[in-house]
Amino acid sequence: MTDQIDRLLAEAQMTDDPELRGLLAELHRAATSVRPMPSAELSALMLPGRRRPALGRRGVVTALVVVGMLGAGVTAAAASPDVRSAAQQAFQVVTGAIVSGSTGFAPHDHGASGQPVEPSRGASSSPHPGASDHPGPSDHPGNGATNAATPHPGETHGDASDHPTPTPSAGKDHKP
Amino acid sequence: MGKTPSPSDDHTLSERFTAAYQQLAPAVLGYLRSHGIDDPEATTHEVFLALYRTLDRIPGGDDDVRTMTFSIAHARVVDHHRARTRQPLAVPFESESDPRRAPSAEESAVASLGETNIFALVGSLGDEQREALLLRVVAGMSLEEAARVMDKTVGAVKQLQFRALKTLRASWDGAAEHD
Repeated sequence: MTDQIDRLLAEAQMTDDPELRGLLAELHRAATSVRPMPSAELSALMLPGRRRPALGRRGVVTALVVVGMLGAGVTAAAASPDVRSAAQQAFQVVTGAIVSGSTGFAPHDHGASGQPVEPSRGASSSPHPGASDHPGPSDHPGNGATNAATPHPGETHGDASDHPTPTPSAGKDHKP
Repeated sequence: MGKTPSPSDDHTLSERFTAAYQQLAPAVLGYLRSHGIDDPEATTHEVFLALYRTLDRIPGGDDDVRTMTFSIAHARVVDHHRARTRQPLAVPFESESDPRRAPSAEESAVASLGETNIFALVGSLGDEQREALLLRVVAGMSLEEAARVMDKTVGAVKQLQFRALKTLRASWDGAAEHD
């Protein structure tokens, strides 16, 4: 950065002013000393593969059964150790049946396999390059179902819809 | 019709975006703060979201990404100043700002320190002088890059930065005399 400051002072023919040079160095230091934390939305864009694949229908059913059985097991355990043992056996039987059933459909079951489906930009809940140059409704929290799965706690001030597509010429007619 | 993006395209894009954020975010935040943007951190996030949408169309290297990033930030600053001139600034009554109230000794000391603050000095510049100076010193741009972002000729930016340096020097001298 010192090179840039030296070049600037040389262009202005003010290289013989060490105090001014110190001021500019201080400006650079003060202005770049804070590293902002990325918002949740930005973090999602920076960390590929972090999007959680949606549960398929069978996944939801399995989850509900497992939760229900666990709840029944806890209640039964409080009542009687014998009942708990029976509940555990029932749990194993039910989950075993579900797992074997899933395995039977495995070749066609991409949605519930736990692996991310091939990235589909149109279906993503995050903004992507091909969508639009203009910040649209899908870029804002609370607008539409596409954002329901991706909370954006750091974007409470980000109403970019007020802003036109940024271009270098945006300041052409800007006067102080 | 563009080709369907592959996962590796997404990965490359994310890598570029991560590198751009790590490299440029502090300077973007400082640039926006120096311009007096109301919520510089949220605006920094907006700038990088907008950058992400254009990143796959920036073919060049780091310098091109930086120029685009500060072009977006520059547009936000211009929008900010335009909005401020359209809407009267609503200021709630605060007893501290009442001119009939005499400042305490502590407040006088703090105000004196604040006058020598570098941001206050930069804030005293005209908008375009400040813009030229910040693009050079905070964003680290060359004269040509700054001219591109400001959509001005190299000569015009050179003149602006010269005046900015003169004004900054004079303000510094004035602040030093006041202290």
